[in-house]
Amino acid sequence: MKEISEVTSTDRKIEDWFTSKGWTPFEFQREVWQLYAKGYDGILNAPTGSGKTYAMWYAVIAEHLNADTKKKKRKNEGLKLLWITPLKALSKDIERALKESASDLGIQWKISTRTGDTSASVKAKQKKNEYQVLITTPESLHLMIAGKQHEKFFEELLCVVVDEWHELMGSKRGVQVELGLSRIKAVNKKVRVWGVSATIGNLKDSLTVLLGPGKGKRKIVKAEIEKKISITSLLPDEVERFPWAGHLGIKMLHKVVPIIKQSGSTLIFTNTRSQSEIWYQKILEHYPEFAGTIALHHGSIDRKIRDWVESNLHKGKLKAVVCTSSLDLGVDFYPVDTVIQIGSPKGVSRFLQRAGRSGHRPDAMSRIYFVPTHSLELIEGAALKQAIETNYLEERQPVIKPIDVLIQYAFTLAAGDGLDPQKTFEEVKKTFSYSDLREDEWNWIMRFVISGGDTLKNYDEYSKVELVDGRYRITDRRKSLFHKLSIGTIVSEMSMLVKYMSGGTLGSVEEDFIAAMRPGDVFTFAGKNLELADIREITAYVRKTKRKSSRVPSWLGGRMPLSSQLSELLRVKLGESVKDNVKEIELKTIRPIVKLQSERSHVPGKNELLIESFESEEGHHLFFYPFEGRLAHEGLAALCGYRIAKLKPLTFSFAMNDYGFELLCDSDIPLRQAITNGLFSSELLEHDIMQSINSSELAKRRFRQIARISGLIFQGYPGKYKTNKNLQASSELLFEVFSKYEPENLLLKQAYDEMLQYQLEYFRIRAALDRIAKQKVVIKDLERPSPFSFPILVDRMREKITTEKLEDRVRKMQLRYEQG
Amino acid sequence: MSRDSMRISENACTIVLNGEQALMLSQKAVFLMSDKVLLLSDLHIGKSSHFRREGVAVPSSMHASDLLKLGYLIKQLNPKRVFILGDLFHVGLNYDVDLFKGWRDAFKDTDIILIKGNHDRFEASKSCELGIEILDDYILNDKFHLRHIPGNFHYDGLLTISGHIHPAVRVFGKGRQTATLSCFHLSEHKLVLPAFGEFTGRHIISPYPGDRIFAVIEGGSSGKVVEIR
Repeated sequence: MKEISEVTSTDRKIEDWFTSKGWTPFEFQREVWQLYAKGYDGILNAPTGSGKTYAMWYAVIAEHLNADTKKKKRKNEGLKLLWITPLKALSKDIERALKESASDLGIQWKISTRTGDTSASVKAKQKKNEYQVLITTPESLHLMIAGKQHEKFFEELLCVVVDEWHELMGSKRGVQVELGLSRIKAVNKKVRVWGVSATIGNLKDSLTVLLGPGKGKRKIVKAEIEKKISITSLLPDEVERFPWAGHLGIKMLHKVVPIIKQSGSTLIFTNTRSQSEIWYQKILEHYPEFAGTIALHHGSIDRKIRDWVESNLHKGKLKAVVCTSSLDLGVDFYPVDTVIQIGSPKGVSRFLQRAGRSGHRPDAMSRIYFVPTHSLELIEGAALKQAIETNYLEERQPVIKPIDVLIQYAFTLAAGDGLDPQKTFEEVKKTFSYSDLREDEWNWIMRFVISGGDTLKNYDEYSKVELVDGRYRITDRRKSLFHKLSIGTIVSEMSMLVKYMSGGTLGSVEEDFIAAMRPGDVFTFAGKNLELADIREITAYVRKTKRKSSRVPSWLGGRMPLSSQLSELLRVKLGESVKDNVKEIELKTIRPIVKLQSERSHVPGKNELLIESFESEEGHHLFFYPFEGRLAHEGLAALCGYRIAKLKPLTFSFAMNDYGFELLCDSDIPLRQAITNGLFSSELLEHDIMQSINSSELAKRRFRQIARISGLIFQGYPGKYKTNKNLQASSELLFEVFSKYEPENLLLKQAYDEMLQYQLEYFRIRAALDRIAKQKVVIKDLERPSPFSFPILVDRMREKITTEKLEDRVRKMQLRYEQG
Repeated sequence: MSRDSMRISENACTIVLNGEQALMLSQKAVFLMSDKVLLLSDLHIGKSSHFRREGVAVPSSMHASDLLKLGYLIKQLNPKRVFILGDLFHVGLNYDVDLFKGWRDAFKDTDIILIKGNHDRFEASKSCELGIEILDDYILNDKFHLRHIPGNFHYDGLLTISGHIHPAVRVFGKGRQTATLSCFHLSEHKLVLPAFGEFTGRHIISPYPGDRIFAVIEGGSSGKVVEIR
């Protein structure tokens, strides 16, 4: 332990407060207090429920109290502490904790929350600077900057705390935080910035991303608190009869239920919303005694219903809740002592995060059960255990230089006190994300903001900002309001509300799901059997029914790829699984399957790439197993198909999962020739990938979000369907128009970059090829499908490799459309 | 017949409408062959300028290419009359009106009749200035009822030809392939034309059994109209 050098009266006051609560400050809390007092910025790496909130809070309090003794008290104190959190739900909890301790210590600070839910009258008070502590979201921070005289607001600020920074860092919301901080630091040089983060693979980077490149007084403080975790894989009774493919895992229901019964309160995590609906339904169907004591929670269920579920979890009234990532984050539920993960969690951090949702009582252990949904997933169980033992966690990759977010920010400044291009350029260059923003890029952005892009016309009427007193401003009040309503980077899918005829909202489902149904049809949603009664605009009216249905809405997205870290350990465990002396129970259990794999084909070691070749009525199949996650496999499959088809004209269809991918062709595939010709070469990689996939279609999907963030599409007033019909344009149309008339548009380029990075995980494709270059390629001709190939073989989601133009493709398509 | 006009008819789909030979053109217009009448709808000129004036930075002057396309059709097909079935301009008489007037001068000899659409919010007296005739609806040769919005009624023995909807269909192929294509939507008493303008958007329709759908596969001079079922 470090010596505590000076104990001031303030420090004693705080120590006394801890003593009065029966607590002793942790070493890491003292360390934060000391560093903060010395003027450091930093990252506090601590798990939830460890006292991280108090670590930051008392650092600021101490500064305030010490200042008080030196300076005379002033009457009107401004904002002292800004607390940024990704979740509105967390803000209330923090507010409560801070208020309580402030009143115990006799500090007259006004503490408030400012999020999208805050009423206008409270916001007006906050604007008048009546509050000393504000708890807010990245979006609301930008709304503050969009207000007039925002600089005054930040003048007295002592500290900005960014809570759950690991959650924000890998997203565009993180970039919003970086931009907001750059503005605050430009106004107030003394302000200190601290991030609070859970453990991630690249903690050091997270410090640089938060504070910007450069050195100075900055440090990472680690809370050395070991949280005990117990991980158990649920094993199938007979692995020989356990399915080789599938993702629902209902077969394990009879194993899961006893765990629910013997636990206090259980969270059952599924990977998709539809899977959670099915599990909820099946539990009640087979174990009706749970009626009334289990609940369902996912992101498409109405907020009010979710709040109800959460509050009953708090009160310990629920035996179990079937949920999705919707409960990954948020306030702690003390009664929860057990967590069940159905199917692969796809990442180590997510698994750990979910495990941590249990066991919040002092000294309690987090208890998590892993339920494989098919036999190979058992190996993932072993890989997860090792990852957690060795603390091998995923890295969060920060978003670099998103043009759309910067355009939105430029308009935000213009809506507030005005945009000064030169000054803002210097400010944003200090952030990590935009540190290598080039002048020509900034000039393009300014042209886009000021004159609406490259225009050819001389009588152009573009107007959004005007030059007033040397700064660009949005002077039109309506346009300014439009912009403020669109601040944010979270883009919701077009969805329809599901409401009872008698009133009461259940949640929302995707438009396409409802579009395929007719009144009278029955579907399951929010754990209820519902009959569609009527559709009006964006609302689907339903009534309860006793009729049953297997129709469950599926929601787009949510199919996460297996993370690099987990993939890597999976390859290791797979190599170990063939050894005779395996220790892990998961590997022992899967023995018969591994044996069958080696009999029919081969089990690849760490330094081998397995390719299986197999013939069926469908044609010639090739299976490749790079174990690099489904997204990278999609790109790899297209790439390999394209490169093989260069040798001789062929058409492939392909399928993939997290372990490998398949190429299917109606004629013989010249595999060996292709390998010698550089099938796995990383030369011309980007070019070949762009040629092999339908890149414009994929980029178009990314453009949706970009168009919305950069203000090309106005989503409308909250809760209203359409507004200002003359200004409606779909992102698809805009994408086509830009491609044709303004191909050098940076937002278009961003769409293609994002597609490579997020849609195809280009960097993993490159990593996989680099690895394969060093590996031995093992080719096996199969007579029957192997356990590895089976899940891919039965996957119905197939893609086609084509470099044809749309018109040619459409001509070949079997033309059919849905009849109304 | 020039090579270009040959290609226009080759890429089109020939059909009999109420006893008249007609071509559904891949340029998203209909040509009545014996009367030499060209029918098209929904140009929405000035839409991009309107966006820009409202502060949405879409590329400017896209509409020039729509007018070029119309000019090309007039040159090649040499129609006696051109009917625009509404929504020539996006918001009243807007900023691109000069663009239109300039274009109109180049095709003075062709009669252009605008059937007023819901977007065409301007006085009929402007017709002189624009050099076009403006009507609410029109009965052509006692065979066709030309109007902007299709509506739910029809005159006996007449086929209603209209625009307004911007119809499109989503087609599906093997392997999760989909594409959205503008289309001509022909039902018993009605023909709805696709939007002629490029920056106009589309509405995916749900046809009834018995309706005929002619999808437009765009691709410049090599585009094609094909019937799908």
